[in-house]
Amino acid sequence: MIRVVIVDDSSLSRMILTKVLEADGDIKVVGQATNGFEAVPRIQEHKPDLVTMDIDMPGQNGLETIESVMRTSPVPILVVTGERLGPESDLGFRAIQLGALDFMSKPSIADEGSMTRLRAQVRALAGVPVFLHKADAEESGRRNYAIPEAPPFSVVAIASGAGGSKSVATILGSLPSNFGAPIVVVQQMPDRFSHAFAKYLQGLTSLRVTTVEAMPHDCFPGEVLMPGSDSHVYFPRRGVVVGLNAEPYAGQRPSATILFRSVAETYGSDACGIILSGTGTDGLEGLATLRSAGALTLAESPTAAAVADTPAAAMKSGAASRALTAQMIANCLVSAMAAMNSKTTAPPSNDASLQNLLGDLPRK
Amino acid sequence: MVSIMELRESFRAPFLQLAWQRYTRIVESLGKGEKGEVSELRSAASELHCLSGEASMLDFKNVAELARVGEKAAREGDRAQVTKLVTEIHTALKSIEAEGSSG
Repeated sequence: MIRVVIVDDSSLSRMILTKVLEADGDIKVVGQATNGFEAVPRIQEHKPDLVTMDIDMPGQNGLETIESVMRTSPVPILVVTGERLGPESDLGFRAIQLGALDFMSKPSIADEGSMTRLRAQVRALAGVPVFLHKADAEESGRRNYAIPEAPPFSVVAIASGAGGSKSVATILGSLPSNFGAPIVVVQQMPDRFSHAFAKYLQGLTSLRVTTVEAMPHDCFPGEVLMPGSDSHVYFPRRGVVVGLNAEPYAGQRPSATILFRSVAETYGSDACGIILSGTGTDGLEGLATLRSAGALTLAESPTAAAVADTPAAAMKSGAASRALTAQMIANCLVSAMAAMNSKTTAPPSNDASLQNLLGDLPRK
Repeated sequence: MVSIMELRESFRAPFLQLAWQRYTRIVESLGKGEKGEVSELRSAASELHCLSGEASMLDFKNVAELARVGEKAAREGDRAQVTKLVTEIHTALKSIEAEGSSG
């Protein structure tokens, strides 16, 4: 039985959420908090597998509450809130940055899918290992490397699912403005949040963030490319990317597998593919194709990822050659370029060459 | 398996009870004088935000939309528009009440 605490100032919302969550019989609402101040004692009292957190609350709001919970009694937090999570809002991403695993809109009883999605997300995130947040903890583990002008691989493709947006932010926030390759990011999230996510990332990175639409786009080194509305990302040729308005692949649009395959076909070994936190199988097949083509393939360390399913599967299947934390992935990308640039301008034989680089990085 | 209609019906009474409380507080906010108008409108915006969210969860679309637009008007300081929309919310809540009685 999955045990949940609801934090929401609206008594009616708490009633409805309880009804929706408990509908299948495998989730039990064991406690409720009516505001942010009540949340920590309720969580300490009930020790739930997951907390659903509203954002708009009087007094201590949801963002402040997430921060306070993660610094005192860390627990998986799913933000479940109202219409402020619209296309123009970065609230959900700020919540993730503070320690929430994911966010979604409150369900409507007229939309069976919204209720099913909420329960599925609670099941996926309940019990996920989360850690005490300490200020600057990540910063202290960061390492600095000299940045070259020429890239060792010509493109970086990143697939991210549930809980992964924080890792995307960590990686992009750690890359210098003169990073030598374009970076394509496929983040699984409701389409209406994709532009808000791009906007949020732009606030965190010195790299330029571009939304890829149907018209072919000439990408340049250091540009972060994200899919536009309802489209896959596809490279018809080197240096050119388009938004492909096609049917979802294996239920996903954008699909990480379509991105990775496209990168494998166009760039071959001259690429780096990365799978971050998430659930499901999207991207696994594509990452394996990319590895077969000789590209460097990395997975976020399952012990550090917010949700370990997909990166763990990538390691188990051999699609990823190495598991690293998000910060280490960023360090690896930067240092790989530096080392490759000092040795040769030819396309790298990535796995072998990086083995040396990875050797001096701390292993999990 | 509980149907959507049954689910909505089971929440109609608590929704209306809470919605009328919010409505009363909004009207009180708007009825206050010029002094503190900004903070009163902010308070009305907060109530309208909650009302919109609750109505949306129960698929009372009309109330959800009126409250959403009302919240926006309140945040923009458009007192006249808020007053007009609150009148429409009153009518919409009465209609939900009537649906419940006739059902």
